[in-house]
Amino acid sequence: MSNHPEQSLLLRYIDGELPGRKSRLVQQHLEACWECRTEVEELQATVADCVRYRKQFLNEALPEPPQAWRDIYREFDRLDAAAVSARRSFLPWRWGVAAATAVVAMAGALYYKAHEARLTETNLAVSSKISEPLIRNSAESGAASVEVPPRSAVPSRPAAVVPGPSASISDELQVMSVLHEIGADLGDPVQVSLSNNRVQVRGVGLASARKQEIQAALDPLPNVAVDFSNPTPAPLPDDAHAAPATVAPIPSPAYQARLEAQLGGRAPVDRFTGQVLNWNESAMAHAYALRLLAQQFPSDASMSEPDRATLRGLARDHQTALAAQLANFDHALVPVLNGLGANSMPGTAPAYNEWQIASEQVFQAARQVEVLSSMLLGVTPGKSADSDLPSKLLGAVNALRADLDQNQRLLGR
Amino acid sequence: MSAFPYGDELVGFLRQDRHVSELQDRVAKLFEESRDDVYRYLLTLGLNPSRAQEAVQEVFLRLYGALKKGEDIQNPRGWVFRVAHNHGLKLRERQLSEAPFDALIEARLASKADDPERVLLGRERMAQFHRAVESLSEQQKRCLFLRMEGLRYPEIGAAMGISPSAVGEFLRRAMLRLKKVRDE
Repeated sequence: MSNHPEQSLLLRYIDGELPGRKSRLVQQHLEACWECRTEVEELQATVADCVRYRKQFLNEALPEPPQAWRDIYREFDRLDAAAVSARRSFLPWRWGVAAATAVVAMAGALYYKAHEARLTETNLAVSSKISEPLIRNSAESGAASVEVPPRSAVPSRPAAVVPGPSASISDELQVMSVLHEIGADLGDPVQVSLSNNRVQVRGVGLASARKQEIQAALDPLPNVAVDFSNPTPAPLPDDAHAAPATVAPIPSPAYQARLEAQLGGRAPVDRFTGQVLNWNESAMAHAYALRLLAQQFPSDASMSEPDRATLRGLARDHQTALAAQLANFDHALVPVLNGLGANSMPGTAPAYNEWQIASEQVFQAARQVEVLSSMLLGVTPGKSADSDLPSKLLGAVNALRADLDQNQRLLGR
Repeated sequence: MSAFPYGDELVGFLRQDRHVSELQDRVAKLFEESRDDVYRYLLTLGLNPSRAQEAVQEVFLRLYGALKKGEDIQNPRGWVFRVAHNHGLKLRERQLSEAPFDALIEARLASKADDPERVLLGRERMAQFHRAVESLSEQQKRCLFLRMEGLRYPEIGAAMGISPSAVGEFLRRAMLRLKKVRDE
């Protein structure tokens, strides 16, 4: 380096911002050049002034923080709790959409049934009870009881094996299989129905990437009409309103102290709560999907063998996923409940002959587990002081196990 | 499958718990070490004290959230100042009617005038230096204050949305002006 380096280069040199080779060149120059070394020393002196200015002047002249610093650990815990709360607030929306989808799809099926009955005299008569809701739920949050009316043995629609110009159950099942493969039957606001001789797939409020994914998956299928543009507003069913629309601040549940003692503090309890909510979310997504299948295809007796196999395969997938979530409860939640003094007999399931009816029982049991566990963990306002809550929750888990076992047997037939 | 009655789920849960505890300790340590520096920086940016203090806590909670999400943050202190800078600018826009930074400084300076301990920089010289700092352009000042806090040129550039070489140039001009205070 023959010429004197510019001041900016010297500043970058003393700040260690020069690459190695350049830095060595400047260093060699400084060793030889008094003028530049003096320049660097002056720069260093100004840097020292800045340091003193910061340390002595700014520290003294600037006002102290007006308040004592808050306990940052408490803030961390609050943040974690808020994340859990946010997740909780997300759940009713998803499940509500799924419930709305179920209702719309069900309404479509009912319309189809009524329409079909008018079209063909040879078709089996549709019971006048068909306009009644299949399921009646208690409006009381967390205390959903199910009354399953006698189900008509009449198949709702004739099955067709070969896809033709008019869409059939086979086409519909194919569509549902494809949606299942890409997970679009687990909470995505997608409804499937048969109308105008087509399998109608309608999506509400989907992200554009998800729309494209669904469209691409359905493109190869015959007799399918996809519509993401004109969603049909669907009223939410009563049970979708059961959970609160807004989440109250996390209360101090009656079991908080005992849970903290058992799990080792507040943060572990918050994380445990998050885990349980995740399991509940997954379980409910599959329970809704299973229920939707049961409602859309209330009987598979008259279906062709391939159609029946497809339908039951879909149902079994959801059944298996639900069983996996139950295993999570067994491994982690049940020991905690036992630690809280829960006492419950093994569950028993009413004997049903059809997996469709048993699936409704599974749905109700899963929902009961979700509501009671949320109450116990304090993420849902409720009777958290209920001294029987651990026992009730354990009973709900046992009931879910019994219902799942029965449904598995029925689906395996 | 673990022989422990809670099973593998709980083992994983406890591991995650330890990870989160370590993360909290890390951020809490940095908070302890750096909160006053960040607070002062936000005051120099023009925030009033209560808003600056609130913002400091917000920034460290953001750091905790980012690390918990798995973000790879090589220099957490640099990250904190970058986020504090941008967050502070937004807050400053909302408090335009409040007392400016300079007035606060001058008032405090006057009250400390008779302090015999402050010998390293005489009152007059300190006031001159402060006035020189105040006379810098906004960008020169931001570069200088962030450099005072130990940020490297690329980190300053990332905070301000300029290149490292532009940071070098702003700093050079700032140093040139401050050096004159010594020469006077």
